[in-house]
Amino acid sequence: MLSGVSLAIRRGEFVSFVGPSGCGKSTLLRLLAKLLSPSGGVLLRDERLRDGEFSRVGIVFQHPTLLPWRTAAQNIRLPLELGRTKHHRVLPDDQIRQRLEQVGLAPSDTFKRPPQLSGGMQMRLSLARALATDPAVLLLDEPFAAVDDLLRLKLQQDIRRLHDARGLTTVLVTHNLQEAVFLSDRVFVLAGTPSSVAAEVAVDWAGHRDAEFRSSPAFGECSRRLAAALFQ
Amino acid sequence: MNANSEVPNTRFLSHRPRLADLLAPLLVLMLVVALWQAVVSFGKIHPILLPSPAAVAKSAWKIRSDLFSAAGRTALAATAGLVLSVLAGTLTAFAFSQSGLIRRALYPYAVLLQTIPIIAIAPIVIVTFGRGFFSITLVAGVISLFPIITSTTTGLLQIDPNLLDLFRLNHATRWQTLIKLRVPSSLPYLLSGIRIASGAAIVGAIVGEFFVGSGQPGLGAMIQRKSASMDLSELYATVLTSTALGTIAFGSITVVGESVLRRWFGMSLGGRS
Repeated sequence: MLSGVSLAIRRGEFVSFVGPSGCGKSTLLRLLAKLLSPSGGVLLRDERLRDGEFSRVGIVFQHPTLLPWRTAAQNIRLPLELGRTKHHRVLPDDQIRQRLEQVGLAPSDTFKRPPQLSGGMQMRLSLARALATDPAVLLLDEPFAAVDDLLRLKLQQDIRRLHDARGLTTVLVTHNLQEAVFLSDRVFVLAGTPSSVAAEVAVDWAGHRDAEFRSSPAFGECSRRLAAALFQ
Repeated sequence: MNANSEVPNTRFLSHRPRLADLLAPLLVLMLVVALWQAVVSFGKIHPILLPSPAAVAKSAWKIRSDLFSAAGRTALAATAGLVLSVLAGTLTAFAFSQSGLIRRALYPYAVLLQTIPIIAIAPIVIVTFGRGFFSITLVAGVISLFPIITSTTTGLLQIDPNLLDLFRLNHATRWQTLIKLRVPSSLPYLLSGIRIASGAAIVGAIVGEFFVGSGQPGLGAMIQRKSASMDLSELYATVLTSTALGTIAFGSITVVGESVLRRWFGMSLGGRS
């Protein structure tokens, strides 16, 4: 499915992979997360990421995939309860409230169960869960595909803000070009069968990722170059 | 955060049985009873072949205390059998969910269990374990085992692949995945399995009692006695009591299951069949 994909992602960078459905974007993400093994070839990953407290990777899927029988707080704590090594780092309630606020949820949502939350709020909770282990790397598997337009714009801004504030290295896969440009420092286009990197577009924008950026000539230029690469 | 698009979802709260769910079947029942009465009253069917609903109701009232205590005995045996099958069935399902080899090796025999007719199992169990309460419980347990095994196994295995990825990503152990993900996820499946199994357990208890026969105080033995003495209206009354028992069991498990699921999952058992 994927062949000859060779690239390096810098620490603290926000990169995206765009491409048509079935091009192997999600496969690539799962390879990075070591959820899949490559059938041939090697995947080299910075093994320093395994060390110390930055041992974990956070992931957000297209759907919130929360545990409906757990409260918001219990869903956020889930990743800390898993694994053989005991995390002696149980998140106290005040930290849970703080993390809920970071992703745009209210402290009063702490003890609500997912069915009591809207789709957008569930997505935000899913993001808070991904960040619970303070991961160095955040993987986003089309996390905005199932939410409405208005909400998508807000979630995008919030995610980029969190990426900057927490010094994350973030990898996003999406089929939405504007979304990739708006969020990323670099965008890779996957194309062909088997897929490989057909183009790489660097997004040069020093300021905040906001409405101003979205309407800037730089944004339009990057989107055009990506579209051209995709339709080659 | 001001967002009209993020209004909490409360649809799950409004999932209550509507009046029409109760009224429509009741209307059908009334029509059937009226038709039955008309056929006996105005038709040429002799009451020895088919007693009228009025005669059945009269008999039921006459032997009401017998019917009540017999139904209680049968309910007790069926409940004990159901407890047995839930214990054995969930344990089997755990084993099936943990090993594909165990599942492939044993699943055909679970299916076989389902294909053996209950009237063949009952005499064998009674010969082996005697004419007592335990044999009846065992027959009820055997016949209600299959739905528990299949639905619970399905529930333990049908997990959102993304959730499994999330657990693997966080290095969850097999035990953690079982306890924190598979078991809670399978609860709705177990409940719907219990709902199907409850009817089967009552049938099993009645068949068991039928084969144990005269000395036994349950509904099955009572059906056997009434049929031997050709007391048709009392036989009908007993059979209808058995049906009512099954309906009550199904209905009460549905109500309890729905409230558990609404509380824990914000979802419904579905298929109000």
